[in-house]
Amino acid sequence: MTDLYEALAIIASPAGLPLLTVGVFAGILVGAAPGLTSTIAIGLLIPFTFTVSKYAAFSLLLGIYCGSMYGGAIPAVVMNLPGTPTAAVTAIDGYAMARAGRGAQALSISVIASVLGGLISCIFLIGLSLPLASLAIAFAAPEYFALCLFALAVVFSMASSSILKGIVATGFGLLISTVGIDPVSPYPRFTFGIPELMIGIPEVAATIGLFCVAEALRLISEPGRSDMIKDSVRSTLADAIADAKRFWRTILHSSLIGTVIGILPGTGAMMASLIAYGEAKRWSRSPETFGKGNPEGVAASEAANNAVTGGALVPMLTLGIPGDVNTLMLLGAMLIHGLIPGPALFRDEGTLVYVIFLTMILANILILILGLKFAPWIARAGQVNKRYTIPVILILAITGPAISEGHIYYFWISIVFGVIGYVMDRAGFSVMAAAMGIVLGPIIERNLRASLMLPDAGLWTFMGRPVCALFLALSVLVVVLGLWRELSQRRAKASTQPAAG
Amino acid sequence: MTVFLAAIALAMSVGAFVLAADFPHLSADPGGLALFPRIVAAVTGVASVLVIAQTLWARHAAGVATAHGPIRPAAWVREHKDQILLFGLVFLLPIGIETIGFNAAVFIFTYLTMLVLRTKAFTAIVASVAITAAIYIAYAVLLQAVLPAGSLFS
Repeated sequence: MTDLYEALAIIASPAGLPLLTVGVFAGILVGAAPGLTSTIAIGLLIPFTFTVSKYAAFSLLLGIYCGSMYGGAIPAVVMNLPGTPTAAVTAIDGYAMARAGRGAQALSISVIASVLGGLISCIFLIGLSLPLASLAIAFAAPEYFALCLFALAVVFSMASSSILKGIVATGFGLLISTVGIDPVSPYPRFTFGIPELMIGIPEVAATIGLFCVAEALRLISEPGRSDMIKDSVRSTLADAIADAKRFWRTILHSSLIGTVIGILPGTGAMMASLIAYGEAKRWSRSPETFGKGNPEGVAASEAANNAVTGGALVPMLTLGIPGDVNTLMLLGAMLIHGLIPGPALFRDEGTLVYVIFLTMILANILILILGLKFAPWIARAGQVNKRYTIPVILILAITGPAISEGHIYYFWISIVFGVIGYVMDRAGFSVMAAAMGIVLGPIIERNLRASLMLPDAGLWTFMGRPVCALFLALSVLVVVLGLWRELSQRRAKASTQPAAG
Repeated sequence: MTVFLAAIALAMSVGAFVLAADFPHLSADPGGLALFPRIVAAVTGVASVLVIAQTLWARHAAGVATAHGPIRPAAWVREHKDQILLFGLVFLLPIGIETIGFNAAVFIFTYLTMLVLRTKAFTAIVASVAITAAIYIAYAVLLQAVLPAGSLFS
């Protein structure tokens, strides 16, 4: 209980709430700016959190995370220009509503669905994290090894269009993670006599390069367009409450989908939005109106993508396995602040855990206030020309890790991984899978080798332990399901091609 | 592009597999230093070969190789001029920071990037000054970081 009171005092301190408000507002702005994603915002901000306390750092980062997830909906509705990729599903019905003169209702639904989705996921975050962390104490090296393997299997099976490409991308990340001094014995691996490589490939600089630098390079070729709706799109709290009452079933259903998908490693908000939209259409009384301005479509997409925020934090906080790209970045921030996610975090950093829980709840409440009040203004302010955003993203992403670590080596890591991320994305290799490989690589290797150091170690070390065997079986199942899905898609594509030709 | 990247991954895997053979083996560590990289290299290598085979087979089946003519380098460069220029600027940024210092390099990088993105010269200068100043305040004042002065001036 002391931890909770301390966390409340931190949040209620003169700097606590304003910092969170700044984070949420900045997040909504970033989300509303097409091309700028929550990942970029978190990645660019991480170096700036080095000098502040861990509580302030996570208030700011989580505020940005939640805010940007909602922010993408504003230009999606007003301009048919999703601020973030996840808001693309919202644009389908949201923009159709706005064109039909119901823009205010679309924005009101998007804000209330986002807030409720976020809050429902917070309930699961709090309800699942505490028991899961206690359960994870019983995990030994073989269980952690199997769990990480499961996380990678989910990532390369679901975050990639082709399983083989997913395996190559993950393998690339894992191989990169082996560069540097060996984690068990002080022997350099794959350093080729270059002293800088002794410290290995820094995860934060590499992931910032893979996502932020690559995204800026990709933005160059993206056309800028805007079909802004000129009608008034201001909505009120009363409208939002009325919408919540009308669409509570869709919001609840989609929030549950978003939370579950958030918990699965490497899946992310885009998949949650798509599945929730499909499910809402399937259960709707008027499925034919989806795509033509059905408010349920907006509610489903927004509730699901915001529910991912709480869900994705569950495996990250309790097991150190990121649920999506944003939590991958947050994991990097935790490591920089000397925090090790997992049961030890709940034991040693109880106050921080409660600060995270309270921040998530407050961030969603702030989204409601800021979203209703400033949505029309944010829609205009978010339209910053890419001529200004591209150089700023590139400079901050390239110099940020180097300036905070004080070594020129980090400049090159961000640049090289930026180019790698750009090329991988163009060729259809999952960048997320590579990043997960880089982050999880050292954990997998350490636990594999620790497992093999156990007495009478062998195959039975993994198969003879129930939790370990369960994760390994789940890994196989996920890969088989992924293969089945890919083959079905190929067959369907092949069967339509002769008809088209 | 897919075949090219898969070939790089294959080369990386073969290299890692071969180099790992020289890693020392400790009796207290049955897995050893080489175990993990070798497992990963083997799996990645096999997957890379399959990706190459799959892509080439798909191309053969779709007749892409015959449908499209050879890629004309000049046309490709013209089409991707902005990207190529920006890639060059990105690689020059750290060299510039080391040579002429952080602020000057950031200003020049921002100005040239904006010109590549077709911003008017005067607007680019004003925006570059503002962006450089904002980044300087963020790093030097907020983070209290020591920014490189550049080998030419220090």
